[in-house]
Amino acid sequence: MALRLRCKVLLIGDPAVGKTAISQTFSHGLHHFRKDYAMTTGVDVYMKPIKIPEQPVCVELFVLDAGGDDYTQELLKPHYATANAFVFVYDVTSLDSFHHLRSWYERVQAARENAAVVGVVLANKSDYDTSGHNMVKPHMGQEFAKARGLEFFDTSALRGEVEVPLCFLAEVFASSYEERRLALLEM
Amino acid sequence: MAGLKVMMVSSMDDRHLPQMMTDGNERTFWISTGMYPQEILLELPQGQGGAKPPRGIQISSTGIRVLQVEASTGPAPINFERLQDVELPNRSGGLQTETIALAGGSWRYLRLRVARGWSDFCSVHKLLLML
Repeated sequence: MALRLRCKVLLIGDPAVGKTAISQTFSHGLHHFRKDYAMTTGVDVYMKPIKIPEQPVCVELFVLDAGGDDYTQELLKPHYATANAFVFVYDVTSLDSFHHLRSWYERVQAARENAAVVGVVLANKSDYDTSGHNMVKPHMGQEFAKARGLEFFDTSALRGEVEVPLCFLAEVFASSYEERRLALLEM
Repeated sequence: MAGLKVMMVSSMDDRHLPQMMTDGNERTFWISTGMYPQEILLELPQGQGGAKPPRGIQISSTGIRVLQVEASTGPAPINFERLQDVELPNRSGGLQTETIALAGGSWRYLRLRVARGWSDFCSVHKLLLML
């Protein structure tokens, strides 16, 4: 029987950067991508089992998606301390959403006391052309991620490219479980 | 420890079976497989011929932060009463040892609920009844 691990992942970022599109596309596939925008007003939870390649291990990712406004983020706050991984999302067409990522990260870090923040940075809506003014250039996101020990990914929920970063988090979680287990065996 | 029976756990890794908490060996352990809360349901040995109920239970663990201890008199494992909430110290992954008093009744079932951990995974190495 495959080992089943459970990992709580939080989607963090400004309203309308595409958090809900990412979680819905990830859990149900591209045909669930919504063309209209409906603001998330509570916390939605999506679960998807991820099979780890070449290992008898399955990681159940519980992805929590809350609206990016102050009221709904309050609902997510209790999870800042207890989540296993974070997905920091910005919209490549909105410099504001990128600049705000710093304060999102700091809020999470403050809630976690001394616990590490494990996660990824997603430059979402990368199907847009970012050559113009007021666009977030890829190197900006890469530098933000690198400075905080996070992995950077270009994504487009519209093109269904959300699997890779979330599978990456599942693999990191599975490795951290195995590391802990081996450390306990040697204790 | 003979007599203490693990009835249910909320995480399962075949290499770290629940019975490893009660085999008396601190080197073998049960480990949680992610997220909190985690639960361990135990059946306590029933005193026969006037034997006294256990005074407490000693727990050797790692990574547990908030432990809620609940007990039920049975006959079914329902209607639990909260006995204690304990915050365990952070041993940075090292072994924590805590003794929980089982005052106030002839308990049949004990539920150990790990509400919060110090790390992503917690482990229980030994459960020892204090007679």
